[in-house]
Amino acid sequence: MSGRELSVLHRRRHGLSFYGWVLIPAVFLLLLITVYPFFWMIVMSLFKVAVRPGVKNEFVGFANYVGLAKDSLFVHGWVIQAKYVGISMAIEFILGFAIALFLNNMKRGANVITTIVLVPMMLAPVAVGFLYLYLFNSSFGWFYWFIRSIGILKQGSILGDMRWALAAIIIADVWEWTPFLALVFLAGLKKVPLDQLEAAKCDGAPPIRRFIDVVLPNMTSVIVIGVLIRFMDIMRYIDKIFVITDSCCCS
Amino acid sequence: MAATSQETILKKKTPIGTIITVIVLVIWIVWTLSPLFITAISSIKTTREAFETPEYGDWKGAINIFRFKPTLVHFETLFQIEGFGPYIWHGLVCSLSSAIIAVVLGTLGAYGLSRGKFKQEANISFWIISTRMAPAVVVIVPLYYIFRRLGILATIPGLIVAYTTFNLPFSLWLIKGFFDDIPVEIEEAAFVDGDTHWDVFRKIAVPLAAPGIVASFILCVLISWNDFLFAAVIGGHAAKTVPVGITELRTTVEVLWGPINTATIILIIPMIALGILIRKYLIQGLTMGAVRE
Repeated sequence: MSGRELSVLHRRRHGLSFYGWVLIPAVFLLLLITVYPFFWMIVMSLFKVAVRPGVKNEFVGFANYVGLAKDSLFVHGWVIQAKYVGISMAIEFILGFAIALFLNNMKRGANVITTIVLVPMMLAPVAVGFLYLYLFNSSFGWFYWFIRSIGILKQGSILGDMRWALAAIIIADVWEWTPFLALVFLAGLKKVPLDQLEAAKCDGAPPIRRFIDVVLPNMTSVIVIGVLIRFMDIMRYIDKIFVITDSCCCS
Repeated sequence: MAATSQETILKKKTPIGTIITVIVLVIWIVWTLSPLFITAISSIKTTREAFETPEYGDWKGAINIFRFKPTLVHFETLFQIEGFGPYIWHGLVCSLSSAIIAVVLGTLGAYGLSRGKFKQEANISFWIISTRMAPAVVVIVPLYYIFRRLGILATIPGLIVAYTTFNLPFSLWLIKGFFDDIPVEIEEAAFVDGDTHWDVFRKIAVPLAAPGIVASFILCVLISWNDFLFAAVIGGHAAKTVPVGITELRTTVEVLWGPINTATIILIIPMIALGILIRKYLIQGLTMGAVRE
């Protein structure tokens, strides 16, 4: 917004300008449906919540937090969650970047391809869970058949084994979200200034040097944003894990 | 222009490079579409045909995946026995209503935040976006208890409010980005002509930001339609949506794979249509305006 503004814009009525008044409904509703519940929960986390009717909530201070830290399942859950998040994000990052570079190479057709590969993101995470549960089923899953056929897995099932199950969840996540990172990185690649690339080329820099010294520094913000958003979403949603593992072992 | 010059500078096209690019992208597309293709084809097979996989290592046998007679038996099970009709209706009503609330209040609020000057402007913006980024559990658990006390737990209005908790901050933030892009001089000219604030908002700002507003609306519908957590916890039986219904097809006795595949197809088809409609704004929307194509 520019500094020069008409004074009429901010004439106040009942203490607020027009802009204040139009903002009020949204702020009020948000306070009511998100902030109030949040503080309510902080207060409640200090109580022992009575599930049975007629029993009063009892104030227990930080006992609930201590109990949580002692719960070995809770700690174990976090370790698995960390593995899942770390590995999937690393794979998605590398694949996404590689694909973005390839897509940037395309003269025609890139638009069609990006539209096609966005389809997995339109599918509900719950359905993604079932989809992979189906594909990895050890009696009729086509992915299971494929893995057995190329000989990686000799026997046994995928989803019964802890390590293979984690791999299956990671594969499902990579399938669903790599296109997102690829398109974010592609948007970043398109914005790398041409004059800098030209200058680097005139100085005789080989492609690798041009990539490290020109392309990467120009993409820092896009990379940070893409990774951050992916990280927040992966921590927010547990639908897939809930379905694939039958809510048994992971987090 | 820019694209052509970038190409001429960066790549001396070698045939090998082109071939590798094509191969990689083809593999990627196959990898992306094959799970959906298998689901789609399984949803119109009988259970017995769908469960037939060849012997391990029998690559030629894989062609049998195409050998079947199309049947709509799973669609019939889904609607007549499992009663999915109402679930679709609940999902539509809740996601559309919530998206309307979010976009109407969001457009008003975004305009105020974009054009107005407030003492704590940066803090207000940050607070709004932080409500969107918090883990769902932070909102869901307290909402559950509060809704139970109010008696709107497991009702359609309750689920609409629950969806609005993530739709409103999302749409407000996204639409604000579109209002920020409109040059303020256009609106100033209208003020000089004597229009009121409301006229300027209605006749100039909203029409100019219309594509962004529509994109936000569709993204809100998409996110709520696909939501599982809120629908499962808040929605209960009276407001059950398709993602919740699909999890109930896995019973303790058996897993009804046919209807699950069918429900997956029903879930995704309208969303693909909406996604293609706002293809241009999808990345901008999913990164909350931070990255533009």
